[in-house]
Amino acid sequence: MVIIQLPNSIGSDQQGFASLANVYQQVKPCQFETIQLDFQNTTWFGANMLAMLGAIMESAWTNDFDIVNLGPAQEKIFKKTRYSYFGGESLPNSYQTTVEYRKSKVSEIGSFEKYLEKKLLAHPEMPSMSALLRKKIKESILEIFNNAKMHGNCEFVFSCGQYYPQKGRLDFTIVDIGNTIRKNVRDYSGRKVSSKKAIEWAVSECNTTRKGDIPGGLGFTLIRDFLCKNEGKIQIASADGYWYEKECISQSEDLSDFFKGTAVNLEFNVNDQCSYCLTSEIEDTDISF
Amino acid sequence: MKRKIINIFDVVGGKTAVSTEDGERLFTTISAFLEKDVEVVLDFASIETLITTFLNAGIGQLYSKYDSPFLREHLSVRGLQPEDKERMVRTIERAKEYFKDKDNLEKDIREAFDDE
Repeated sequence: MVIIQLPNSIGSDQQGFASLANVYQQVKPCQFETIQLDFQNTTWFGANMLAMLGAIMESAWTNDFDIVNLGPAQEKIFKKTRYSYFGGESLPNSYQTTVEYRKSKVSEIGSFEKYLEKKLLAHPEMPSMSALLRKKIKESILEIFNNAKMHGNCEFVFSCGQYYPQKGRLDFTIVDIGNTIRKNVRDYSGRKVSSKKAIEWAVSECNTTRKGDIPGGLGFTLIRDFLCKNEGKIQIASADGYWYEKECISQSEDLSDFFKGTAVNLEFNVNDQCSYCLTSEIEDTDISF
Repeated sequence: MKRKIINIFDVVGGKTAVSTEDGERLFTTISAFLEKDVEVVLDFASIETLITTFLNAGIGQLYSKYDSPFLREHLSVRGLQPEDKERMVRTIERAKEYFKDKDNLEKDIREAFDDE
């Protein structure tokens, strides 16, 4: 049996992603083993980070996992997300601050979109948001989903969310266990680029590792523009790189452990009333090809 | 010139235009009419969710076959939600840029990482 101790806290920050990348490293060599994930020391685990834990457990599917010493409060949160380890068991829908965990086939974006509508945007505890804010949140998440499909070259995408009513923030994480951003940029450029440089390049306007006749390189730009206005935050952990942008200022760091996949966390300010009211009206006839 | 209105709601089978596959279908449909020198109007009425993945495949890709003057003469849009118009404009600008510099893109990225 392999025993893995989870740290004291796993939140949506560099340390949280690094801790789970460390779990990935410990799980990676195991095959046909029983792996015990010990939560004895863990007092906080953001529900959205279950997306990454779920992806890690999926990457090591030949093993049996045992989650042990999970505190009652934490177990309640995990069950509220219908985390698949518990067989999708769910608790009553009162004071629900989590967005359901989901493993989605990348080919089923329509079904993923319905999940966003039903489990995130129609969330009973979510404040009343303008139609435009709801639309922007949904579009941002769908762009990330498609990015995982196109660049991750993966079969599944894992997602989960944590809502903080007091702060008016929603953290929603999307994870794939496909090609890392570093691999894609290295393959494309032929240069031995570091993970953090690769992410910096990939999220910059007009940059894409796509070849062929379908242009790319706009999705991240639009998400970044929106989150700047929304006073939200975006974080990306891929390979051994970590990048984030908050209040329009971005920074990248090395991640202490390597994660063979990409995790993107979008943090939305759901109390935002009007930061992206339309500033200019474009007529149909102004759209010039 | 003959005129064809393509209803995006029909192409994608709903209010959500988000997938590359649906975008590819739109690209094929538009191309078929443009080949016959037909003027195409894209009607986005009832489309509530629209993302760049769909637009890149459906509209951005047109610049791989046709130039801007030809598309200006043959293609127009209507019925876009006000907030989606900027997305459309940026997709078009991006596509023009992408195909203008396509041959140099790989050279540019190598230069960007020359110090790596």
